[in-house]
Amino acid sequence: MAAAHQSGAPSLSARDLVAGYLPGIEILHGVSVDVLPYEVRAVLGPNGTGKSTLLKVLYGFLKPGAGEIKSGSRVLTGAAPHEMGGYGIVYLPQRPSVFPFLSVEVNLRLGAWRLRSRHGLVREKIERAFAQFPALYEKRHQSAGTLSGGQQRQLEFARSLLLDPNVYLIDEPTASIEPRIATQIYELIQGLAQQGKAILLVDQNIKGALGIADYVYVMRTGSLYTEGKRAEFGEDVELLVSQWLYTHHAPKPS
Amino acid sequence: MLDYFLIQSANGIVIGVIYALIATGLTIIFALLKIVNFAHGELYMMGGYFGYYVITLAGVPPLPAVVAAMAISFAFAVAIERGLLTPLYSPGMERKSDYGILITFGLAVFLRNIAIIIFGPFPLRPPSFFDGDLVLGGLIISYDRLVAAGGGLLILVLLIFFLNRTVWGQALNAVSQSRESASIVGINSERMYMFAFGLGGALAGGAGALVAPIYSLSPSMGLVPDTQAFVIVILGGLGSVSGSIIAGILLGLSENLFIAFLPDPNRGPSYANAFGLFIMMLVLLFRPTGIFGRHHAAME
Repeated sequence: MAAAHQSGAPSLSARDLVAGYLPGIEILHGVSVDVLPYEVRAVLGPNGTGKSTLLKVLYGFLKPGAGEIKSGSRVLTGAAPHEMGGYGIVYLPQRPSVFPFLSVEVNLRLGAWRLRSRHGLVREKIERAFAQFPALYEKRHQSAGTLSGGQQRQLEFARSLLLDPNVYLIDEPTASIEPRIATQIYELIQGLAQQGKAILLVDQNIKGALGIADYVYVMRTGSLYTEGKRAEFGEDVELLVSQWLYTHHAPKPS
Repeated sequence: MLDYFLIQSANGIVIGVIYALIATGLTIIFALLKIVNFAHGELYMMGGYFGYYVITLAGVPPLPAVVAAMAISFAFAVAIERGLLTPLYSPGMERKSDYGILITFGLAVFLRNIAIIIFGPFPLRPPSFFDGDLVLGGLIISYDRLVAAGGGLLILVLLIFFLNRTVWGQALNAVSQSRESASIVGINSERMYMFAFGLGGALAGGAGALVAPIYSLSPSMGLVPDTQAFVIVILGGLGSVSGSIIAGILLGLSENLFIAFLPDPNRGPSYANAFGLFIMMLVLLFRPTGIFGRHHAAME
């Protein structure tokens, strides 16, 4: 937690998002979130409440039926996913988004697609990424699909860092990853926040996410159930969250 | 007998290279757009006519005309993609592969018939690349065939280099593996689809322009190579460019030898298609993903 750095202005904010995949079936019923620099904000909630859908809407994979997405004063509602990197936004989906049949090095090279005409700069950035993730350098000629789940995550982070983004939208980074590696991934995410990145983390791993979260959103059936600073929830937040989520008539926290 | 074998093998390799050109284009389109382009043989036919008219109307020499035919075919294919295939990319579109089959099949019929009206039903033959035959001992082969095979191989080598060594080729490959991941790194998938269809059209068109002096042009010339290309793509493994090249050359070669050595020479050509399909069945029995196929279709 890096409360000392609070800067106040959100890097990305969404107001009253309404969205669904099929006409007439609404998944999000008006969700508002803010993502701030130097903060990890966790979105928690049971399966099927629209947490992943929220990230997809924020990244432009799904156009919202209503609501607004802004980055500073720039309106991003309706922007296409491939434009998001240009606004400094990164999305890491639940299944690692590496290209399994391309080598680790080519995966990194494609991460710098936006800079493709500047060969020298791209090479320099890739060298820096390899210096930061030596395990990837050793496997640079291997297909990304042969890496372990944890290493694929590392490759994704290394790839995203090439363009020095300021917002990370992360969906279940440790799903089906062994616990020891999961701890490393949460440390990596926390490290990004300490460098000033704004992070929105959707997770089923409540304990892992709460371990690094500064602020918590709790979702239930397509809307926000409650939200607040991580510290306000006290020590036994895991128990609290599971009570809100899995009992039908839980008292709403004031 | 040995001479006959040599000549037939050389002819087989020439036609095999042409098959490979057509099939790689089909593979690239399939790997990216996930549709089978049933109008691919017609892009091959159109490429042949583009080359013919560049030579006869614009007075361009035959070899540069092949390059011009490829460029025009690229633009023609892009126009088709923009005009007819963009509904494939809309997220709300259902049954995309059905749409792809219907639209490209209809396009094939349309192009074949419009070609009869515009170019006429009679075979046209553009001038030779170089007149005469190369004689090497018992091996006799026309310079036109050598140019067709050599030009085709050059195009294939350039293609492999482009796909594996340039960032644009790698991006095409990336989109074929995952459209979502590609847009996460900032690649505009729709532009890549357009480019892939154009590239496939250029390869088919180049093949048509290369064979024109050998076999002449006719509106229905795309029918047989089209079937062969489907066989090759499946043989080589869906989505595998190198598989398509190897399978194309092997099919051309073995088909020609089959025709040459069938005891009844009159029937050979009519059995050629059946022979290709027979080889395909055999390969699929033992390797259901084709020679180089992966378990799912992406480009490599």
